[in-house]
Amino acid sequence: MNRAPLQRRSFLARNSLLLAGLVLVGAVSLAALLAPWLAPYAPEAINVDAVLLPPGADHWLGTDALGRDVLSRMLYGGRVSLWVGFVAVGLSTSIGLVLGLAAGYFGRLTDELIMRLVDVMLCFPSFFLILAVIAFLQPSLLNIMIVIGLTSWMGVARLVRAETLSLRSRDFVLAARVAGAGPLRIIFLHILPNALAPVLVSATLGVAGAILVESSLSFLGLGVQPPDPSWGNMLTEGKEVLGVAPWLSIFPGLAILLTVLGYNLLGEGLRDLLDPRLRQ
Amino acid sequence: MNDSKPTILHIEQLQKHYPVRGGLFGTRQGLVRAVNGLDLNLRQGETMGLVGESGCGKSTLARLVLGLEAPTAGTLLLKSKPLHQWDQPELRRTVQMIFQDPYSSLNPRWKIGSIIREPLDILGQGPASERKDKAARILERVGLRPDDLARYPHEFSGGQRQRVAIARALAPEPELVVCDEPVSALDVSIRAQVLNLLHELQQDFGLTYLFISHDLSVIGHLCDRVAVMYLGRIVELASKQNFFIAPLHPYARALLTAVPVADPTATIRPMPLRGDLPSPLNPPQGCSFHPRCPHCMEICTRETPLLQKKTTGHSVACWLHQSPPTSHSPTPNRRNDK
Repeated sequence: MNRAPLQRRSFLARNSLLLAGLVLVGAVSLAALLAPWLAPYAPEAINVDAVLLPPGADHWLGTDALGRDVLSRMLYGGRVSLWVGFVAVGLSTSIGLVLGLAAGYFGRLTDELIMRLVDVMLCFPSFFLILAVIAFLQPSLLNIMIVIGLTSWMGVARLVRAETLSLRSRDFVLAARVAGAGPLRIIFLHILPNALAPVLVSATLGVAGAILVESSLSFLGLGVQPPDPSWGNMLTEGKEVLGVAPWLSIFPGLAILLTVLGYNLLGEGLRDLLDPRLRQ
Repeated sequence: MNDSKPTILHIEQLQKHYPVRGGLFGTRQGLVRAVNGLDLNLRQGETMGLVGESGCGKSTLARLVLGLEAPTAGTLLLKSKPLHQWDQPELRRTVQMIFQDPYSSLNPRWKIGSIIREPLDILGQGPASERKDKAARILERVGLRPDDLARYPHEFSGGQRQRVAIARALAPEPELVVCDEPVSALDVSIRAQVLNLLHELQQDFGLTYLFISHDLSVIGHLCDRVAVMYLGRIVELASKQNFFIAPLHPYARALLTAVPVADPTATIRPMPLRGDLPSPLNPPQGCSFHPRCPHCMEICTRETPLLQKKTTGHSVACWLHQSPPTSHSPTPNRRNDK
């Protein structure tokens, strides 16, 4: 008796993970996107009359040691975090897709070369590799995005290779060959569309990882350089005055936590959604 | 049965061997002789049934005929021209294939229209609008509605999917169609419909079918001639009548008597075969069927019998039906070792 209404509910309602992830990610993205209109102050506006104010009516999340509004800086910092996340993941997913498709479809020597490269890349502790490269280059936003992207494509490549291997032996690939299709047509029109679902999940989880790495780098002073705000360098500034003004650390920390949690929930939810065994 | 019809496909002593690699350094451990000295002739407009158990090389033969793989040795002439001399688009227009499993042979992310149009798009036959019309026409011809073009494969049943696959194969207007067990994945209730469709299309388009199956009732329904394949070779080639009434090769007889008869008073007793199909990695000496043959003679373990004409339209490769060679340097062995 209770089953019928249960089944009539949409998948979104049954999958609370996905719903929570969507809400969190949507809220954070919207806030970052609308920062110029939402922020009550300019992010770099210094006000020496309002230094280290606790959260209140004028400054909802308080002010920092230079009297800058924490809420405004967080909104602009969110743009940096999300931008880094998307670009880095876009780069790593593209590299992983191309290499994984090539390794899986062509096999033999191509496969061997690409997969050994993956093994070599996985040998490096990637965060220290990123640290070393950034210390060597200029710590700019562009460099961070590229370096994160170049060091996080291996998982995608393995995933795509495995998918390609199983899709390659399906009859519709053989049918395409009989129809006269060349390798590029088969790879991009036949195999790629069928391999995208797990890549989408891994990319969503990858955004969370990239945001964390960027925050860590900025916290260590190798990421976004002051006075540009980012959640990571706001934490650095906050730790100097942690005893007197804890809100300087708590709010950017919470922002990182909720954003990363949101993307992880979204990724897990998508995985459930796309898994035919869990679909009813 | 009409010997005057021109030959469309001529296969002589065709071989396809696959190396088996293994061990620490990927050295060659053996050779799978998937197709091992096969002779076959297809005439324009006929349906040649190819029967044999799993692993006897039927699918390898299909891939060779389609030009998807290159033979190791032997002759493969399509319309009197060696297959490897054909250029790709022309070959694709001439030979097409219908696959066994319609659930796996249609890309699940593609609409039916794109699936049927794919060969036309690749081969660049006519302007886009014309290709679209053609896809609609052919879809209608196989018994689906033109507005099904905009739907996805998962919206169709197995039989309908197989109709789509047939439409795709026929879109480039081929002359030879390789059918790899096209009805064995379908419900028994719709097999006859699809077989009848294949037959009608053959009449309409003048198609030649190479029809691979292990269902003898399907073969009997559709085929003009039957070729029995065993371990990479044709062991019997006969007209349908000859094959079903008077099979010569012991293996063909075993296949036929294994078909259950829906008559409790029938007296045909199945002729049981001992053992399994031997591994093509290590085929038996002499006649490859001799370890399982109830009539095995001494010569069968030494010499490989060649396919020889017994009566008009009936050839067999068996020492029971041909005189053994007199000397000890017979042609069969030499050709086999090549």
